[in-house]
Amino acid sequence: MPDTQRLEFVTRHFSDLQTIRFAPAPIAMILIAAAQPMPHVGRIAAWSILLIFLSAAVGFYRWSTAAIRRHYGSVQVSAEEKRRMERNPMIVALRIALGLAALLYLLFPLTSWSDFYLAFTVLLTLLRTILDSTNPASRRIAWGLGLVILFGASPILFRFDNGAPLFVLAGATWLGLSVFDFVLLRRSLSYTSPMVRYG
Amino acid sequence: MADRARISEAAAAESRPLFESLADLNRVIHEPARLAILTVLANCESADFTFLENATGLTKGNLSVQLARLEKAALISIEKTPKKNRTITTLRILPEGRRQLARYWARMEEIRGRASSD
Repeated sequence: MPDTQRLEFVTRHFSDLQTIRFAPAPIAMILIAAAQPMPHVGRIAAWSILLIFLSAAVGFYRWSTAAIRRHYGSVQVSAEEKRRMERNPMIVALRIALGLAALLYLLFPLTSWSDFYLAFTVLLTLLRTILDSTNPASRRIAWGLGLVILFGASPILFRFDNGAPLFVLAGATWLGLSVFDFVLLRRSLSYTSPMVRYG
Repeated sequence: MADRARISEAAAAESRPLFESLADLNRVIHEPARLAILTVLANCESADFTFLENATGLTKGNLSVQLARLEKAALISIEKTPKKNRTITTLRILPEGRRQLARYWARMEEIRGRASSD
C-alpha cells in the first residue's frame, strides 16, 4: 500500500480496527454454545458466573482500551467521517428494506422479528466495511469471507441443536475478524517508509 | 472573481518551465516527514503525539522538530493538556494547512501530467 493510502486508512479506521476490545463477547458465545446442553446449576451459582463474566469483560475492555491508547495513541475522527458509509446507496436501500419489513411485521406478526432484526444488523455491519473503498483489499476480502461463511451456513446450522452450532460459528467469525483487524492495525503502524524516517 | 483568478493562475502555471514549477512547491510541505504528518492530520479531527509517532515512524525528537516547523508555518495547532503525571499533546490541522495541502497535491498532479506529456 502506498504511504499516503496507508496513513489515510490507519487514521480513519483507527477505532474500527480495535474490536478486539470486545473479545470476551464472542468467546462467551462460543463457550456457551459449545457447552450445550447446559449443565444444571443453582440460581446463585448462575448469577455468580454471570457476574464474574461481566466483571471480567468490563475489566478486559478497560485494560485493553488503556493499553492501546498507551502504545498506539488516540485519534478523534469527525462526526461526518463516522456517518460517511450511511450514505452508501446499498446501505440506504437495506435500511429502507428493514423499515418495510418492520411495517409488514406490525401488520402480519408471523415471523420471528428478533432473529430477522439481528441478521439485518449483522449484515449491515459487515457491508459497511466491505463496501468502504478506503479499506485495503485484504480487509474487504476478509470481511466478505466472513459474510459468505456466516450467511451461507446459517440456513443449515440453524436447524441443529436449537441453533447452537450457528452461535459457535458467529462467535468464531466475530473473533476471527477482530483478530485480523488488530493484526492489520499493528502491521499498518509498524511499516514506515525510509523516505519519511530519514527524509 | 475567484474562478477567474484560479484560471489565470492555472494558465500562468502552464506556461512556466517545469523546473520553475518544482521550485514553486511549498517547501514546508514538500518534505516526506512533514507531508506524512499533514496527511494524518488531514484525515481526522485531532490526533495525539503517540499516534503520530507510531503512524509516521519518526523519533520523538524529530517529530517534535517537524511539528514545531508546521506550527510556525501556521499549518497546524498544538495543544498541551496536563493529565495526571504527564502531558497529552493534541495536534490539529488548521484550515490554512488543509488548503495548502490540497494546493500542494494539485500542483504535484499538474507537474506529473506535464512531465509525462513532455
